[in-house]
Formats: sequence, C-alpha cells, structure tokens
Amino acid sequence: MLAAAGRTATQILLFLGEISLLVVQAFRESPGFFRRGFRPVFRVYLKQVYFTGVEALGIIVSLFLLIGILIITQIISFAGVGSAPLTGKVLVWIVVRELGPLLTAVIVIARSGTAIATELATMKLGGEIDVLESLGIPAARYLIMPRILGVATAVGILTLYAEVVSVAGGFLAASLAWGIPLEQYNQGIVPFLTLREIGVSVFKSLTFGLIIAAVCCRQGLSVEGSLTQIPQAATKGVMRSLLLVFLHDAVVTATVLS
Amino acid sequence: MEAPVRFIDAVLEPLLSGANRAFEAGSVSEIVTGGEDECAFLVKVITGLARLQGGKILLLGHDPGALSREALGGIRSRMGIVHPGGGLISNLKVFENVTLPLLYHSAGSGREIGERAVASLERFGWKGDLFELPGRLSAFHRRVAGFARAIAVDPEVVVYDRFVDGLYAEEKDLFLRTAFAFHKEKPGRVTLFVTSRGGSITGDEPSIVVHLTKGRFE
Repeated sequence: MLAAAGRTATQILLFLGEISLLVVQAFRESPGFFRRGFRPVFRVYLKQVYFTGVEALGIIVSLFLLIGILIITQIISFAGVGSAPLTGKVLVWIVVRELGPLLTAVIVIARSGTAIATELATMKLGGEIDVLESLGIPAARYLIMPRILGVATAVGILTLYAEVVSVAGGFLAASLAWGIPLEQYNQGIVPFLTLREIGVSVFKSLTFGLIIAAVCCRQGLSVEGSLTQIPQAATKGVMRSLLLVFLHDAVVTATVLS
Repeated sequence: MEAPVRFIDAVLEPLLSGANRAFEAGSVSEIVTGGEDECAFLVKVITGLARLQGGKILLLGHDPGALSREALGGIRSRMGIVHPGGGLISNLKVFENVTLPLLYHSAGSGREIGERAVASLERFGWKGDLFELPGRLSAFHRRVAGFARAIAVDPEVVVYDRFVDGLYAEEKDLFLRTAFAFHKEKPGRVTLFVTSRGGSITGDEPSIVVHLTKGRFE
C-alpha cells in the first residue's frame, strides 16, 4: 500500500513537472518566434485568443450579469437597502476575488480545454506533429506556445469583462429594484476595489489560463496509437485542469489572505 | 562536392545495420525497402526525426543528431518531403498548408508567398477551392496539395515517400512527370523516391536504384 501511494505521488509530481516544463517552454519559445516563424505562429495565437476569448464572450457576459444581479439581490434582501459598504465588500470578495477568475476558467476549460486536447490528440495520431517537424517547424513553437499564451491572454481579458459586467449587473438590480443611485452604489464598491484585489484577480486569471492550456496540450500530446484515446485525452484534460485550477486558487487565496 | 545525403555506418535496428551510401548532388534515386513501414521509418531517418543508434547520416553536410533544434529546422527547410497521404495539417486550409513552410522560414511578403503557392498548385492544374480544409478534399487532391507544398519551398533535397502508391495511371503519370521536371529545375537537387514496390517509378528512369536489404543499401 505504501508502495502504491509512493507510485501515485511520483506520478503526480511527474505530471506537475511536465506541466511546469510546458509553461516554461512556452515562455522560452516566445522570444525565438520573433526571429523565425512570427507570421504563422502569431496567427495561431490570434486564432486561440479569438476562439477562447471572443467566442466565449457571450456566455461569460450573460452568466456574470446574472451573477451580479443575484448577489446584489441576496445581499440587499439580507442586509437591507442602507447596507452599501457590506454590499460592496461582498461583491468584491465574491466576484473579483473568487468567482470572476474561477468561473471564467471553468467555462474556458469546458469550451477550449476540450478543443485543445482533442485537436492536438487528433494531430498526433494523424502524424501531423511529425509532418510539422519535417517541415522544420517545431511543434513546441507552432502548436504549444501560441496556445498556452493565447489561452492565458483570453482568460485574463474574459475575467476583466466578467467582473465589470457583474458589477454592472449588480447596479442594474439595485437601481431598478430598490432605486439605489449610482453614487451610493459606487460608494459601496470603489473603496474595496483596491489595486491588490485587482492584481490578485489578474494573477489568478493569467495563471489559470496557463494551467488550462498546458494541461490540455499535455493530455492531447500524450496519446499513442489508438483513436479511442482522443476522448479520453479530452476528459482527462478537463478533469485535471479543473483539479489544478481549484488547487491553485486555494493556494493563492490562502497565501493572499494570510 | 559533398553528397547532400550520406549514410555512414548508419545503425537503427531493425531498419539499418551499418548502412553506407552517398546520394550525390543532381542524382535521382529509387530506394526500395522491404515494406511500407520501412519506407516511413527511412523517411524519418532521412529527415532526422528518428535518431540513429550508431554511425551517422549527413544531411546537406550536417549531422542532424549534432545540430541544435534551430539549425535542424534550417536544414529541414531546405528539404521537401512528399508524404503518401499528402501530410496536410488538418486544421489549415489548402492555401494555408501550402504557404505554411514559406511563411515560417522565408522573409518574403505575404503576396509573394501566396503567388508561389498558387503557382505550385497550378502545375497540377488545380481547380479546387484553395480555402477548403483537407478533410473535405479527395485523397488525390490532398496528395496534390502536399506535393505542391514541397515544391513551393524550392528544396535542395526532395524525398518522395511511397509516391505513386494508390494512384490511378493518369494521376501517376502527372505526378512522375512533375517530379522529374521539378528535379531538373535546380542544378544539384537530389531526388529520392522511397518505395516498397521496385520498378514503380517509371518514365524518366531513376539514375540509381538501391535496395535496402538486411539493413544495408545494395
């Protein structure tokens, strides 16, 4: 039993090592692509930002508008109309600190994580990675780096949108349902929306993006030989991304709060 | 002048067991292997994708095993590989596939590169949609696009992997005519047909026919 636990621990450490290596590799590749392959690699990056960021904007905006409305409704119905400081504090804590980066990451995992893992697995099994290498185009630079940086960029921007929309949704509810003016609403939000809160949120969203893309790239590229491994790669990509994102969130939150 | 492709005591079991051969500049060779898997494996060796267990292979004067990734990429950019199924990237359209190596390796303008890609495709009388994904193309058109991509980079070494396998007579004629004509367009260009079916390369006969038997070129 001890041996089995040791094996599992080793596998987990190896997996984390591989993920970290992919992220490091992505950053190490980024200066190189200005020298060679800028145009096609940048195109892959833009496509990734478009697919992960722009195409997910609709669902993110709708979801966070509703979340903002729900949170404000709950707080005001609980604490009353005159509780502006509490309203702001809770909204900033819940949305900016936690839900913004976390829910955005979950949506990106569901949409783009599966797509990345499936796409790379299909390419690997179809021999396309070897074809790229035989063309003198390293897979690490053409396939992995732009995906990792593209997803990180997209998650960062989506999270900002999500938070702004959520706060706006909250104001909409507060204004329409309880007649709270913008000034009073702002007084509740602005003092708590410090640079530190925004910084933590941005840090979380960017690192979530790196984790999601690296895990899904790794899962996609790990398939060997059989088509049945493609859906397995996608599922594993999703599950492991979720686990790592939540784990990372807990670590960052604990570190910041302590 | 150094042979652009040279095997020196190359060992990679079970394919190569101390193989020696120099494929001289300007030559057209047909390498006949024992099977399709061996063809694919040999092409990987020639492109430096498979590492030798012993000896070495020199590509355009360089040992791929001793090169940095950037340098190896530079060598590969001077080679053209025609894959048996076309070897297209599935999420890129035909035009993007053909222009990909040019965009990656050359500093030419997008317009120039596009014109080169179209000219390569027109050699085959391409009438299909340039902006179609490979999955929607016929097997022949995929192979044409893959061939056009190899031609577009104007390589010094061209490797044709199972080049005419599965083609109809007309398609085979077109491919062979184009391959031999393309060979003559650049002095010193090395053309290697890797096949498991000896005698399948007809028309302008290859100057050298080499059999890869028991790990050695004969």
